[in-house]
Amino acid sequence: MTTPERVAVEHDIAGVGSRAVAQLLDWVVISVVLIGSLILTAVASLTVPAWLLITLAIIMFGAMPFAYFFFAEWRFGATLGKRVMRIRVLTELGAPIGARESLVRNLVRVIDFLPTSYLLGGIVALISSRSQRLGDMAAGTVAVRIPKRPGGVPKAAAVSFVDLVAADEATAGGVPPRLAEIIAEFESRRGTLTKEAQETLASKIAARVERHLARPPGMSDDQFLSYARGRYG
Amino acid sequence: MTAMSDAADARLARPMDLGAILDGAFSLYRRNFVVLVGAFGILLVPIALLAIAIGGAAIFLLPPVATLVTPAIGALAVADVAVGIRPTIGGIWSRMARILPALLLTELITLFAVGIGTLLLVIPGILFYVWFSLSAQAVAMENFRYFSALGRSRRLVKGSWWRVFGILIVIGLVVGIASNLVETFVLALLGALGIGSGVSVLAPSSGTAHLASISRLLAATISTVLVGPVSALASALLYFDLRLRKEGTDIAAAVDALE
Repeated sequence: MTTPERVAVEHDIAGVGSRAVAQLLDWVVISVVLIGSLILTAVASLTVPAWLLITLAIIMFGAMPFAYFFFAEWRFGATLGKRVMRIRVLTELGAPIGARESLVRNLVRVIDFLPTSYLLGGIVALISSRSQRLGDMAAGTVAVRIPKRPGGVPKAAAVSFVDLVAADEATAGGVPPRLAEIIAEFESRRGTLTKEAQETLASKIAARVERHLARPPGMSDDQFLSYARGRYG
Repeated sequence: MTAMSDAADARLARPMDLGAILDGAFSLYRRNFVVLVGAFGILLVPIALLAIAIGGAAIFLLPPVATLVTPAIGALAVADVAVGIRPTIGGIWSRMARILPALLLTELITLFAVGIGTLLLVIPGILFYVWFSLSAQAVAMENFRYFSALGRSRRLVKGSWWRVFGILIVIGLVVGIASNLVETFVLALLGALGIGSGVSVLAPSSGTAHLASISRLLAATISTVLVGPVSALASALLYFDLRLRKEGTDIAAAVDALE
């Protein structure tokens, strides 16, 4: 996408799969609210006139799903389901959508839903190169996936001051940025790796790092990688 | 599988979350629609026709057995994409033909284990189902066989049981809804053509009941051929994702790429 200031912004397009799950979650939310309002209506029926209750129920059931999608996407760029799936609705230029875009894409939602369960919208999105349903095309919007914030990196293994000084004296040059990225990736995913994979990868990466950084005496592969990342990463 | 060419799908180069797995499955489905539908159709359409020709219990028995091996088609397609090869029907089926007996037997063992587990008050059945849910992928992608394929699946799922369970449920839900939509549409179409319509549920004659069975089988077959690849691709991507998470093959490949 290119913003009006001609700044190129890259986004991952949210595909049919993640949007389908977001939609299922949204309908769970809507159903809970509608069932809750039904219960309230039943309780209120003891004191409020029947015609008023029926009018309110019709407005609630007819307008609530539309209002939910319209307001959530206009104000926050995403419904609750989309938030869970880390999806955001943007204009085709990458800007947040306004009331007009939200109104159009949610009015056309009725057509996307035809003949039932978003069959038409799903097929159109599947064919579309940017996974746009008819509502997106009419409003000039796209649904994109928001990347997960980088997770915390585990604390570095303890390295003694003597080791650091010794290594500093022996060091020439630094770890290339790409290798530092690989070390960071390895450390952030250490918890999911099998023990065998941890050892194999630590050894493989440490051997590579040693081409750029002298290993302090007595330092294990894991300690050396933590040290290298802390020192140069 | 560890080395990824430049042409390989970038999304396979990192572990994926649920959204990425589903989006990846639909994206691969869209880009390889003819190949995947063709690869499924080559197996399922003749089996359905054979079942209709034999009649009787074959109508209810043969197609589900054939469906057991379809996850491997998605696995082989993903294996191709991972190394930058465009999947073809010939390429997939030349490998499927080699692994078919082992694949079928492995899946029957899995089904038996899940069945026994279900008889033991359901919970063990669910436990086994999740543990062994990726056995077909283990056969297709890494040449594991029979009990070793089940063991491979269990090792990959270990530590991620709830995550895999949740992802399988969501895949089943999304694909199930899509599959039902297609099946209903095809049944309505067949009904409009006078095939399988007008069957009395309360007192069906043998002729109309047989016709209804055939129309249901045809609808189920068309639905599986059209929608089944999405499920097979999503399961294969889940397998791929678990391998990356457990073995860090992408990290090893990134180090090798520095050479």
